[in-house]
Amino acid sequence: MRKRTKNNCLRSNKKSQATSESLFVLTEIILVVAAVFLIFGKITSIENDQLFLKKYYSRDIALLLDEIQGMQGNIFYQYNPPQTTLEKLDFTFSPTQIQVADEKYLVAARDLQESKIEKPKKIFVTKEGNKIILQKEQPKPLNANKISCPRIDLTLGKIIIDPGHGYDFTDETGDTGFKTEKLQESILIANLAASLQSALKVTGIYADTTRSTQINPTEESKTTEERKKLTEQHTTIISLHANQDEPTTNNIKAYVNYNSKKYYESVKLACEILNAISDTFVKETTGIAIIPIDTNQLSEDNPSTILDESDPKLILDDKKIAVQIEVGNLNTKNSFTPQKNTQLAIAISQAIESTEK
Amino acid sequence: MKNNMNKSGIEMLNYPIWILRIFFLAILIVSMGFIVTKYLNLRVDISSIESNIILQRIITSNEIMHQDKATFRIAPAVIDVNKINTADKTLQEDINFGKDTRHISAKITSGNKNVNYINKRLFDDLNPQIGTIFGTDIQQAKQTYNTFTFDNEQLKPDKITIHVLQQK
Repeated sequence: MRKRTKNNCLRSNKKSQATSESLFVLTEIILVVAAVFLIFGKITSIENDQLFLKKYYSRDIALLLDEIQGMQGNIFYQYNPPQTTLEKLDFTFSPTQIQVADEKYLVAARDLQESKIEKPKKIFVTKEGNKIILQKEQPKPLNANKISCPRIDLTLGKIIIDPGHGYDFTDETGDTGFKTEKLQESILIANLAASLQSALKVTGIYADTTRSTQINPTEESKTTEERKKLTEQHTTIISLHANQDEPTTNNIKAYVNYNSKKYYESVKLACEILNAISDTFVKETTGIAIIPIDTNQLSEDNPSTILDESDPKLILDDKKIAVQIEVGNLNTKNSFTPQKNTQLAIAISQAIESTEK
Repeated sequence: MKNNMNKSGIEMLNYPIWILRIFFLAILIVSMGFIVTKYLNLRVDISSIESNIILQRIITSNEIMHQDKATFRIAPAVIDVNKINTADKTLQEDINFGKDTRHISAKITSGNKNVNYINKRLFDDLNPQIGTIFGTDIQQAKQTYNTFTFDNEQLKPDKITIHVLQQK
């Protein structure tokens, strides 16, 4: 009886040992399987969530824009990572932040225009003048002529437009300006001044002129000094001219008075106008430049004068915002058409309007 | 009887061995999870290159350096004395990370006298931590340049030190 009980006891011990062993093995298997599932689950969730991509792109583009903001000149850059992973994500840009899906990163690119790009294949970055633009489509060709304008606020106040030349063709002082077989600078500029005056009126800016914009061949020529007297009540002078150059070049220039108290303001206005013209006539423009001139060189004490007394550049008053714009080359083929004159006037008026803002 | 005693003793010994096995297995699994997570490297740390870019932006910026009035070209590392007084504000506008003023900070020392800052409070918070145990999470870029100061139309030899600090 005792023997049987002992046998039973041994059997039950063996049985319980086998049960507990299998329980331990089972626990081990469950643990391993759970761990494998957990690890793979995490990797899959990271892959699906594109967590790494979001972090990578937000930081990589932030670095790129930090760098582009610090560069001088105009830049065109194609952001095209080797693998087409950009397509999976949406991008939102602002001057201080980049957002890739829900991942944000800080950036210091004050010229960056706010934009949203959804699932792009490539990102095209363009820096023209003071603007950084990001697009998903191939942009129009870069306007490499654009220049960075000074970051100052302008108040133009009362504006006067100076059509650079008169209409008295009998006058022998050369006041009628340049002339080609078909074109006369004074007539072209008078038309441009009239169009500009109208374009400004549409935007709510009233501008006077130093001459009548109605072409009157009997009107007496006005000297630079006479016209300058007419500007006394005004705070901003915009003098308009055309130039005569090689037919292959069409350089647009702005002259500003280097000794002016409003030098940087004049440069800012000149810069905005030149950028607007070169933007309107991208293909036709071969170059733009702001040229500081020293009107004091006319001093009687200084015999090495470069400006004579009748030089139209003397209208650039040293106490006012004053620019003299040469809007194009008379010798360039199809340089001045009525349509071009209207486009020029609109471009200049838009530049003035944006500067005032 | 003796044999039976030995057997049950060995059986008793099995329990702790199994528990130990499961314990080590658990450690192994946790370690694997840790290694996998670590090597996924989800932290994309760009602070080193970012602070260097900011340093270069300061040295080439017209907010503190001389810009020729006629040609508008900037002379990198030629400090314009007239800009020193307003440089704190203008640099802050140029290198502006928006409302988050604790992203990056910089101290610009020219000569021995002129000191300009970007996010001064953050710089003062981070600078004492460098070299301590708390400083391991701080990225710094520091450069000293032999340069000139543009003062009253004259160039005088000078030095400029730019020290950029950023939390990683």
